[in-house]
Amino acid sequence: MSLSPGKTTRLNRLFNPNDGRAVCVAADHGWMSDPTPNVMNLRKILEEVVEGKPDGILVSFGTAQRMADLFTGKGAPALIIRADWMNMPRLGDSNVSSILPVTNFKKKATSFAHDALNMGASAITIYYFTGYSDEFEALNIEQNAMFARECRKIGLPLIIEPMAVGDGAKTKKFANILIASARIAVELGADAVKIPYTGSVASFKDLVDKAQVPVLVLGGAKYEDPRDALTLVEEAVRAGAAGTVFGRNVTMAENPQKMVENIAAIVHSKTLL
Amino acid sequence: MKINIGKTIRLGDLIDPTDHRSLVIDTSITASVGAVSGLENFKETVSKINTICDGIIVNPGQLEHYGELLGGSHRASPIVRLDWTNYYRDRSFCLPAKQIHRILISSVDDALTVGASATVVRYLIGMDDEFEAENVRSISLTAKDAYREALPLIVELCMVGEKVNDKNFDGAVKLGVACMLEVGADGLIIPECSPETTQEIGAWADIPVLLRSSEIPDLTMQNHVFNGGFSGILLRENIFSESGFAKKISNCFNNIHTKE
Repeated sequence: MSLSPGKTTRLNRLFNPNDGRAVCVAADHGWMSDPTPNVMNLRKILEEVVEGKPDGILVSFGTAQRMADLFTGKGAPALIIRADWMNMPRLGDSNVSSILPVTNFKKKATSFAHDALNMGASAITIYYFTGYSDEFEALNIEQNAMFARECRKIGLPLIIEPMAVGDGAKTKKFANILIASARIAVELGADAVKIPYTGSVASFKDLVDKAQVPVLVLGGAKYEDPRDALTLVEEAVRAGAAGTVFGRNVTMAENPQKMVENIAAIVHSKTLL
Repeated sequence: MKINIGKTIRLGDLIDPTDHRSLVIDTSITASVGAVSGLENFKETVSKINTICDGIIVNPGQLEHYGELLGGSHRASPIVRLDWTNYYRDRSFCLPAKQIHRILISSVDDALTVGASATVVRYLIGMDDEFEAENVRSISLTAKDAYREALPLIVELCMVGEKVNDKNFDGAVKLGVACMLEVGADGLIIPECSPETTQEIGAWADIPVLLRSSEIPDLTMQNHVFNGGFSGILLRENIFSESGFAKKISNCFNNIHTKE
């Protein structure tokens, strides 16, 4: 790899240099969906999360400002800033957010990569939506490419989050769409990919092999039984994933610290269930 | 008289100054459709071809990660693809394109940052009027940046729109060549056309012209290209699905530069 020193050192803060893996927690839901309990009690939850020793936490710009103390000191989690905003959870066919439904899918860049660098971030994360419409995807590609250019210039790692949406996401081509979009993200300049599980170890391995950068599996909606979430982690790691970015399955867990520790046991210690 | 020394030196990395010939390979389609056959592992594939061609077209993200594979006096020089399009997404792709889009994903400045010897953009010919106007405007602005930064700009003509048909194909290629000569391109990549048109363009264009080919050309084809006044051949990604492609490319490279 021939990444810039800035990207290399910041990736080393996020991914444990001993095993090249990372356990991250996504806590950016208040930015895009309903003010659910995990959003309204975020500080208390994140304090518990930090006790579980995650490698990184994904938050919005505002949360990073208000809760900077959680990211301070040796051993503290790496700060990952969500640099864009979208309204997908509020779309009519979503079951995630319903207070103020929307009808038009929108995504906006909301921070410059430089803002995140000034904040002390180790990386930024941005969405890449595919499957909704050709025009919307082109807009996503254009935005992502702009972030990629800025990140290259300032040495800040870029994590792209491909999401298959629209009719394409509901077909049996779901896994193929994710496999293609992960690689497309890398061609644009992603240094890591945050992506949903494709549904099988074989297809996720295919995705990991073709992406050629660290792949972090996301958790999605909260599982009723936390063991199902851990099974997903185990399968993804077996397929070659470099780690996780779990949100609601951690922040809505009965014991967020314990959930982080359980995920870390699988990711870092390869403790298979 | 050429006064842009930076462009001259960088173009010399791609077009051998001793014989004025070149073999270039395009790997950039992966930005549009993901990993294609033979390009699943970029590093492995490029390691097989980086000493048997003059230039490799890559996306900026790949060059940033694998820059150590390219450049230098004995390896292929990186040409950065500045634009993205979904026009390769046909029925065989998991999400076929319904409407064609083309956007910029990199810039001349960005390409210099990652170590490019040249840049390449597409001119999609045969599209609707608004699309064409925007495409020409975009290439014009990129050409000005390329001039200021002394980084060669290569334009690839893609005959994709509904307005292009068998009858006007060669004429449309010539129209594209004329427009891109006017825009300030430093090199052109054009599709295969009739022998007459090939000769005509070879004699007319005073910048390097590469012929795009979906297969590794045999000697007859190579002679057709170079006797027609072209500077070289661009191999598309299809070649990576041919068995023993590295050996075939090596032979082609040696023939082109008459090293054997």
